[in-house]
Amino acid sequence: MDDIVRRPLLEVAGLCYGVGGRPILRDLGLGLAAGESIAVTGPSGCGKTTLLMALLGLVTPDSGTVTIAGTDITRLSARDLAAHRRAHLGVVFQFGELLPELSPVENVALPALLGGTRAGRAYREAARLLADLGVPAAETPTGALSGGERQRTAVARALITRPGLLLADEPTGALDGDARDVVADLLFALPERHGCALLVVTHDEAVAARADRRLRLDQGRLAGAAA
Amino acid sequence: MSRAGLSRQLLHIGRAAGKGSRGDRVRYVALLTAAFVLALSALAGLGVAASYAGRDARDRARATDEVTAGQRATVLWRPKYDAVGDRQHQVIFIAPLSPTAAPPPGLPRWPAPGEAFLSPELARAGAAEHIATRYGRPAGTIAPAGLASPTERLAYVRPARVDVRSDEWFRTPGFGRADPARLGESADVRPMAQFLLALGGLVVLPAAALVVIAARCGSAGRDRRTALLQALGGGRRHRALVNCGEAIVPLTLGALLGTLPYLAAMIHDVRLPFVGYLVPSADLRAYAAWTPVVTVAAIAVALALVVGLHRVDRTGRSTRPRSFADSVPRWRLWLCAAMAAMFGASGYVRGMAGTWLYAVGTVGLWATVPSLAAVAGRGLGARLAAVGRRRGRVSPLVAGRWMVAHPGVMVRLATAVIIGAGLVSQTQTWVSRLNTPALEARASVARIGDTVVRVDAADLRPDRTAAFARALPPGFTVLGLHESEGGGSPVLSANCRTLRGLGLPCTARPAAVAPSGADDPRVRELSRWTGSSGDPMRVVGTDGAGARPAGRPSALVVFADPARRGESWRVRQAAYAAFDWPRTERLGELWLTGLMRNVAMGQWVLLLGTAGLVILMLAAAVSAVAEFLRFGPALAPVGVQSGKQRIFVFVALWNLTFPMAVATVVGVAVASWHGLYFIATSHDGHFSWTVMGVAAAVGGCLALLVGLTGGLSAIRAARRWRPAGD
Repeated sequence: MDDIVRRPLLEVAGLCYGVGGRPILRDLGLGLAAGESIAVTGPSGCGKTTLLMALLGLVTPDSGTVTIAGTDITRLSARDLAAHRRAHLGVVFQFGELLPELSPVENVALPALLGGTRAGRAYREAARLLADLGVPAAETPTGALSGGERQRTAVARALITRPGLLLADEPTGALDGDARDVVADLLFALPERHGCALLVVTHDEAVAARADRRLRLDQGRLAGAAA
Repeated sequence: MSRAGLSRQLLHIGRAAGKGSRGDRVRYVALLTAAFVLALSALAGLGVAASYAGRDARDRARATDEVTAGQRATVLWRPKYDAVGDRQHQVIFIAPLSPTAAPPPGLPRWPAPGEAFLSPELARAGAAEHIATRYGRPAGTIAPAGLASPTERLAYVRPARVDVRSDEWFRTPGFGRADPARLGESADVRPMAQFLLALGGLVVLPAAALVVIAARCGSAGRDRRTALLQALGGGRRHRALVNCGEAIVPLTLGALLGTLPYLAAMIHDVRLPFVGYLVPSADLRAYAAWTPVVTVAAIAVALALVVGLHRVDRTGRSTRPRSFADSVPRWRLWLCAAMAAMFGASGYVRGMAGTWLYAVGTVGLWATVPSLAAVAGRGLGARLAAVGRRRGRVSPLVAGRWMVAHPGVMVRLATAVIIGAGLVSQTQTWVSRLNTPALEARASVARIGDTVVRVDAADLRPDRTAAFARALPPGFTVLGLHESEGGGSPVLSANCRTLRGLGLPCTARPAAVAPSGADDPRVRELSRWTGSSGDPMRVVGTDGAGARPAGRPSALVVFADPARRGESWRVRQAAYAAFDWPRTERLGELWLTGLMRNVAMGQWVLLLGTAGLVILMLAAAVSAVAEFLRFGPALAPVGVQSGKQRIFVFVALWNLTFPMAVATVVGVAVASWHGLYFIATSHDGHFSWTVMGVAAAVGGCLALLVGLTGGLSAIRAARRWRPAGD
């Protein structure tokens, strides 16, 4: 167990990325172990989302490595990258990005079904996760859920494939007040409850304060942020 | 910035904005296709005008007038009718009276006595009937200058013997008349205004609808842009320039592509499907200067539609195609059922009332079908989603839920397919309708083919009749037919050997032969066509005991042995060789050739209707793909997480191809039932499974194309999707 904890699940080294000669990420390094959480903060336009896209493999860095679960994803083919993402990564987007025509259970079960899990098991697991995360009526139309419930459903969807690494992009950006606190508390409790690593990109200092470590992205470089 | 500089800049902005927007390729292709169709259909209108102008000029050049007092006749002229297959054509007998008389337009010289010039189309169509030698020795073909159109079937014949004193001839001072009587093909042509109206309604209007749908393709982004431009102080002109900049390239390209088929038709005569009409390239060339004008006008109209459809929405409500969130009112379904019942009842009601029931039922059924399609679409979607959910299949689950939430996509597709199949089937069925004599003529042809031919001529002298009989090979028997002007049934006369060979009695006094009393099927048919039930055809022997000379017959009837079936051309050839301007016809032929004129008109409606329906189906398909593009980004996050992009194609196949394929099957089945029911109750017309097969194949291919285009476009849209949390 100790060995797993010590060995980072996510390891970023020498990551550089720029657009049109303008550097966005400069020689960026980062390590994140299972059961640990990191919050990346920074002003608008500092490259937080670009960093997240590099971790998802949606952009190819100019140089450097992004190692997830022991594999450098920058060297993977598109097919292998998709398979690796499916096996190890879960994502929560800012606006939940759920299909309003489907029920919450169906929304949560989608990644599992696409990954080949049997229908019964996928729906059972989805219902269990939703109950766990406090989404009240699993068969309520998704369009009828509150903002906080939709975001918790998105968290459940990210968790259903039991990913080692969970990425969250401004997960509370569309929420305020109690809903924001509930979702933030829930997210940062996940590494302990599910043994996964969590990286949250946020500009909300109050949300970032819940992380084990806080990093600030500025001028394309990551630095430890003041608590 | 100067006004011109700003305009250029705004056009440039529009072009750049179009490239980066969601569904840009779909809209580009949609606009290009729409401009192609609009330009081509507008050019078709130009082609119609050019063809009519050319036809009028040639009609005037070849028309003749009878000589009036003080004029000198230089030409003998007499038009008659003949047929190849079931299509009638004109045979114009001519002879010069003066060595300086000019031949008819299109002929390089006067045909020598016993020679004939044929139009290329008549020579082609009549090749199997040896038309080249029917009217005499072939002298050549009539040049386009002498024909109303390249499709005209026409012959100029100079008889071997010309009796210049005969009253049968028209005497004319020559060819050319300002106000011509319509000859040949022109006699059957509808006025240009009617044709243009049909083209406009059936083709140009659907083309304009396609432009509208293509212009509004992915309109949400552009509506926001238009509002933004207004907020920034942009006026109507500025917004129009941005929209023009975005659309002008695909519209121009599409319109230019649309001119290519027209340019090809200007080089060669192109044969149109269904109607077999050859578009006269020379006429199109004569109007060549109008081609760029019409093309630019088509681009201008399309641009005006694009600009006009992107005005600022002052009410603040989007003008996007709205999705069908409300349930379909029940009364519409009852109305649909009532219309179906009205159509069903029409088969049992005779006269005008039945026709009205049929017309109202049919139009009403088609008008209310979209409501039914919406209900069916929702039901289908719910079942599909249930199956997907039960089996854990994501594509049918998502597609089914979308069908329930947005049935409009499917309704538009299904309506186009169902109405398309219905219209095509109905037009085909109506075109195939026959009147009672034509129905009997077709039945006669089915029973005996062309083994009985009637020959009418003014000069049935015994020597000529004998020459005619000698010219026929063994297997043909010639009989006389005597029709008295004072009434009474016609009498068939022949020697006893011939009569007995046909199973007929040989008596000195005419004996009645009713159709039921004849053993030989050819005699039965002749009796049907020449006698009546109360006054049947009679037969008399010319060489039996007590026989009296029958006198000169008013017509001849030629019986061919069954082995000679399909060789009636020999009879026609021999008749033209032996007699002056004979008229030859198979039993009932006049009814069939008369019918073909209506059929030809129906085929034009079928051609224009089919073109219009293909355009409408294209419009529905473009609209469906455009709406599907809105779904692409919704699935993108799941696609990113799962890495499975094939889901987009599968969802598109379920969401677009599957319902459209179902609509095609249902549409073809309903249209087939509709057509067959009509035929069964009216005992008339015939149903073309080929037409239905083509409709099904077009629907199926379009369904697959729409699904794949939607899926691949959604993949492209999803690839561009990025989490936008920064």
